[in-house]
Amino acid sequence: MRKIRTIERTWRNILRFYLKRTFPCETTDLVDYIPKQAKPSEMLLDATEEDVCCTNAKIQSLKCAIVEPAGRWFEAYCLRRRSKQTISQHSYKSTSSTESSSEVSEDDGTDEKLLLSLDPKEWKKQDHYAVLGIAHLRCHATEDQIKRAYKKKVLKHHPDKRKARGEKVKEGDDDYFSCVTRAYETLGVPVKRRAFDSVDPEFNDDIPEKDKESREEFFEVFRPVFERNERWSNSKKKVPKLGDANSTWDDVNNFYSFWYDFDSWREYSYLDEEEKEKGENRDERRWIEQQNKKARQKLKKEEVVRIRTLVDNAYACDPRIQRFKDEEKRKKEELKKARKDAAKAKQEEEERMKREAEELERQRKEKEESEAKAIATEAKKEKEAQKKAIKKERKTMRNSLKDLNYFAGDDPSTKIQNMSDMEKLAEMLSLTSLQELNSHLTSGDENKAKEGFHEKINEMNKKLEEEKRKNLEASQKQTSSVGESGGKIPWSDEEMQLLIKAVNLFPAGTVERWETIAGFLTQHMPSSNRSAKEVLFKAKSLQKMDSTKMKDAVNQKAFDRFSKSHKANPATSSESSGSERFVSPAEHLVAETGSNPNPWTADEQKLLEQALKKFPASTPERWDKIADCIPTRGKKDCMKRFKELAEMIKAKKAAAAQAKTAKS
Amino acid sequence: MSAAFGLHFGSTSACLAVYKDGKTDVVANDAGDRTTPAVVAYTDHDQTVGLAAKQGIVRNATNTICHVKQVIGKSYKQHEKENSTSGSYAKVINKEDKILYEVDYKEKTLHVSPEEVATKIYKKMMETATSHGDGDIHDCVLTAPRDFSSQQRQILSDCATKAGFNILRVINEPTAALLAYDIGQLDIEEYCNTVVYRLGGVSLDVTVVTCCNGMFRLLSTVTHADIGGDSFNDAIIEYFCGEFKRQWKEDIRGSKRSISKLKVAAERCKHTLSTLPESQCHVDSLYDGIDFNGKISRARFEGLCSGLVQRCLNPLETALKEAGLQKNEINKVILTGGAAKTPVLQSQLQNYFPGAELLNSTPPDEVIAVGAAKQAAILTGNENHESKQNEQETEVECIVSPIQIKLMTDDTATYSTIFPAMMPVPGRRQRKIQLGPQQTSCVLEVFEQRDEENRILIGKVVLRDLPVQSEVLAVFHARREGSIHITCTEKTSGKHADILIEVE
Repeated sequence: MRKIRTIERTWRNILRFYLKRTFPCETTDLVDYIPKQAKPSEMLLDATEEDVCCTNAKIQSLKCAIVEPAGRWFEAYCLRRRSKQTISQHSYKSTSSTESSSEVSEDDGTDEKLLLSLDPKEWKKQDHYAVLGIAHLRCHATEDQIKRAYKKKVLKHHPDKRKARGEKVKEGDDDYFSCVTRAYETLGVPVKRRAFDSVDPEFNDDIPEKDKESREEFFEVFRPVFERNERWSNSKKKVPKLGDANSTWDDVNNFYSFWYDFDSWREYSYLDEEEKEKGENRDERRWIEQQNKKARQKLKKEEVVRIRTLVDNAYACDPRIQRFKDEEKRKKEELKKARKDAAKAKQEEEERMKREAEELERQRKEKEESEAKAIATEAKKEKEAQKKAIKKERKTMRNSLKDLNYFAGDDPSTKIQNMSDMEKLAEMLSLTSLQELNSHLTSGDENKAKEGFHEKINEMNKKLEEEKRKNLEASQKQTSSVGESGGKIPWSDEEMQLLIKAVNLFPAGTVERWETIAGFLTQHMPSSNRSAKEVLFKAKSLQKMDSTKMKDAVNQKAFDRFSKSHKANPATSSESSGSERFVSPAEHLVAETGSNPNPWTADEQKLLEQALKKFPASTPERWDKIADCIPTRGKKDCMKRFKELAEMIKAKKAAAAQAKTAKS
Repeated sequence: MSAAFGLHFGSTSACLAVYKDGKTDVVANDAGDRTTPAVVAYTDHDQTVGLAAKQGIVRNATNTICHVKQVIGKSYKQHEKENSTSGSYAKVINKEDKILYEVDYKEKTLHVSPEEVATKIYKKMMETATSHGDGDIHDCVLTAPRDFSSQQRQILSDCATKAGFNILRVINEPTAALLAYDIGQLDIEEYCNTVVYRLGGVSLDVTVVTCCNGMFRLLSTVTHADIGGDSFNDAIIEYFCGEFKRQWKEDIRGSKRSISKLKVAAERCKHTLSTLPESQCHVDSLYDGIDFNGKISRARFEGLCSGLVQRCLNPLETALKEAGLQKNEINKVILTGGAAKTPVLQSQLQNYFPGAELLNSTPPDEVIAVGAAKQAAILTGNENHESKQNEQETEVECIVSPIQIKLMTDDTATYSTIFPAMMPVPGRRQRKIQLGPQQTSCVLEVFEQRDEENRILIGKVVLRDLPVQSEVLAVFHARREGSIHITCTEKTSGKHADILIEVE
C-alpha cells in the first residue's frame, strides 16, 4: 500500500509543480486530476454471474466545435495536440532542467579503476572533472551538476561508507577519497575553477594556418575554432558569430573588430611552481609572488599572441574580405568614371556654347557689314543720281541755251562769250542753282530766261572775281615763301573751307597728316584731287594770308612779334602760333555784343579745355564759370565751340576710319 | 520580469490591467482614475486625450471625438446605415467611402481617421503602462466585441502595436469576463453555463457561454446598439429639464450648451446614485445666467428608468432561446460594462435568474481588462509564434452526447454524468466508488444519452471477488480519436479491468 501511495504522491507533486510553474493561477490548492469522491451512498451493483466486461455499442462520432482561444486549458490542449502526446506523457516531460536520476550515466567499473589509480599527492595534476565523473560536460557543467556529481561520489566512496561495507581504508590523507574532495574544492569555487579551466589539458589550442586548404573551406575550418575559443571572452557582450558566405559587411566588420580587441579571462595561476603561502618570511613570499607573476604574464602573452594569429589567419583567408575589397575598388572606379564623364560633358557643353556665341557674333557682324554696304551703295547711288541730275541739268541748260541761240541773235562774239560763260556756269553752279536757272530757261519766256542767265553769270563772275583776288594774294605770298609755284588749278572756295576744316581736324603730329588731309578733301570734293604736296603748299599759303589780314586791322608791333615767334620755332611752326592773342578788339567785342563771332584762337582753345576740365559737367552754372575764365569769349560762344569740337572729333574719327579702310 | 497587460478599449472608456507576481490589478492613469475616457479633443494649441478631453466637451464639442470604437473599420455607407450618430459630436465626412473626422486644429482643418484616434488613445494607455511596469517590453492582450470582424481586430492590434504594445492576442470580451472570475480554470471538470451581461456606455450585449473541460464556447450573442449608460443619463436630463421648467418657466432643451452642461452633471449624479440613496446636482449659469440646484433620489431614478431597465432585460430572452438553454440551467451571471453598476439593474437580473450566482465582486467596468491581463499572463510563458498559431486553431473535436454511469443509491438508479455534452476530446475523469459492506463484485455500466429519453448502454466493466469494504477507482479516458477507455481498479487487491468503447 505504501508503495502505491508514494508513486501517486510523487506523480501528483511532479504534475502540480509543472502545472503551477507554467500555468500560474491564483488559488494555490490546485484541484485537478484528483479523483472525485463519489457520494458514500452511491454504490455499484453487484455483478451477477453472466456479467462480463463487454462493449455493447459505439458512441456517436465526434463533432467539431469552435472554442474560445482563452484559458490555460486551451493552451495545454493545443500544446498536446501539436506534440501528439497523451495527457500522462505530457505531464511527465518536464521542461525544467531538474535532472532526473537517469541523466547522469554512470558506469561504475571505469570510475572505480580511475579513483583507485589516483595518487593523493599529485592531486593538482589529476583531471578534476573525470574524478567527479562529469568528464563529458567539462567547462559546460553547471554548478548544480558539479554539486550533484560530488554528492554521488561521496555516497559511494566516502571512507566511512566503505568501512561500513567492510573495505580496507587507508587512513589520513593518502586515501584516494581526498582526491575527490580536492577536485570538488577546485571545481566548486568559481575562481579556482576558472584557473583550472584555463589550463585544462583537454582544450586544444591549435590554430589553422594560412594555407590553400583553409582558404577554400574557410567556414568549415575556422567556425569550430572560433566557437571553441568563444568561451574565453571576458566581455559581457554576446560574442558575434563567424556568419556565412553572404553575411553583410557590418556583421563581418563587427566580428573582426570584436575579435581584434578580444580580452580573454584565461590566466595561468594554476601552474605556479611554489605556493605563495609556503614562504617563511615576507620578502621570500614577495619573491615567490614575483616569480609566479612573471611566469603568468609570459603565458598570458603567449595566449594573446595565439588569439591574434588565429584572427589574422582568419582575416587573411576570409573570401568575404576579398569580395568587399573588390567591391570597394569597383565602386571607386565607378565614381571616378562618373566624375570624368561629368567633366567631359561639361567641356562639350562649354564648347557648344562657345560655338554658338561665335555663330551669333558672326551673324551679327555680317548683318552690320551688309547694312554698312547697303548704306554705302545708297550713298553712292545718291551721289550718282546727283551727278546725273547735274549732268542732266547742264545738258538741258546747254540745249535750252542752244535753242535760245545763246541770246545773242546773230552777233558771234556775244555768242562765244555766252558759250564760255555757260561752260563756266555748268562747271561752277551747284545742282540747285542749275535747276533754278534751267527753270528760267525752259520757262519759254525769252527775256526771263535771259535775265536769269545773266544773273547767274554775274553771280558767277562775282565769285570768280573773288577767287581771282584770293589767288592773287595767295600767289603774292607764294612768291615771298619758298614754296613752289602756285597750284596749277585754282582752289575753289569750297575746297578752301574743306582744307581749313581738314587742317583743323588733323592737327600737327597726326601720322601722314597731309595724305589724310588730301584723302579727306577728295572724299568730300570728288572733283578736286589734290596731292599731299599741293595741300601742304596751300595750307602754308593760307596761314600767311591770315596773318596779313590781321595786320591790316592791327598796328605794326604786333606783326614784328609775329614774325619773330614765327622764326623761333620754324620746325614746329603750326598755324596755332600764327594766331596771336590781341588784347583789346576781341574782348571789346565780347563786352559789347556778348559773343565774338571770330574763329577760336589756339590760346582760347587751351583756356576752354582747362575750364572744361576744371568745371566738370555736374557743377551748377558751368558755362558761366567757363565763360568767365575765357575773357575773349561769351557763354554762348563757349557752348557753340564745345558742340563744334564734339562734332569735329566725331567726324575726325569717321574720317580716320574711312582713311584706314580706303588705304587697306 | 516583463509585465503582462490586459487592455480593454471600450467605446466610452479604456481600462488597463496588469498581471504581476501572481496578482492582477488595474493600473490607474496619471489622473488617478482606473478607467480613461476614450475621448480625443483637438484645441487650437494641442491635442488632449482622456479626462481632459472629456471635460472640454462643453465648449469644444465640434472638435471632440468619442465613441470611435463604433466606427473603427466600418465604411461610410455601413456607418450611415446604422446611423449610430448618437455619440460623436465631431463632423464625420466621407472620403472614398472611408470615414474621416473633420476637426480644426491650430486654425487648420484637419482630417483625422478613426485609426489615428485609436492609436492616440492606445498611446495614452501606453503612458499609463510605462509609468507602472518596469519592464521595457509590454506584452498585451486586447479585447474586442464578439461581432468584430477579423479585419477590425487587425486594425485594433495594428494601432496598439504602433503605440508600442507587443500584442499577444485579441480575445472576445465575454471570454475575458469569464477569465476574470477564473471560471473553468481551477477545476477542469467544472461545467457551467454563464451569461455575460455587458451594459456599456452606448451599447448592450448579452452573451451565453458554456465552459467545459476548461474551454469556453460562445453559444449566442445579442447586441442592442441603441441602449446604454447614456440613455440612463438622458432620462435624468429629462427629469432635470422638467424641474427647471417648473421652477423658472424656461425650456432649456433648445440650447445645446446647457444640455451638454446638464449632461455632465447628470452623469455624475448617476454614478453617485449607484452607491448613495440620494444625490445633489448643481450646475451654475445653466441657462442665461440662472444657477440650477437639483436633487434626485434613487427611488425616483428607478421610477424614471423602469422602462429602460425592462428594455435591458429583453435581449436575455432571445439569447437564451438562441443558446437553447433554460433560465435555470444558467449557473453564473457576470456583469460587465460601466452602466451595469446600477443597483436596480442588478436586482432585476438576480430576479430573472434565481438559480444563478451574480458575479459583481470586480467592478464591472474593469472585469474585461482583468480577464485580458490573466490571459496575457498565460501567454507570456510560451514563445510568441506558438501563441500566434494557437490563436488560429480553435477547432476542437468534442463528444457529442453525455456519457453517464449508473449508480445505485439505496436501490434507486441514478445516472451521474462523467463526460458532459460537447466535451472537447481528449479528457479524463475519475470516480472513486465505495462498495457495499458485503459486496465482493461490482459491475460498472456506462451509458450514452443520445437525446432526452433514450439512454443506451455502451459498456460494462465487471470486477469479481473483491475484498470487503473495498474502494473502486474508475478512470474514464476520452481519447483524441473519440474512443473512450474505461478502467476500474481496486487498490488493495490490485484487481483491475478495462474496456475500450469505439467511436462510430
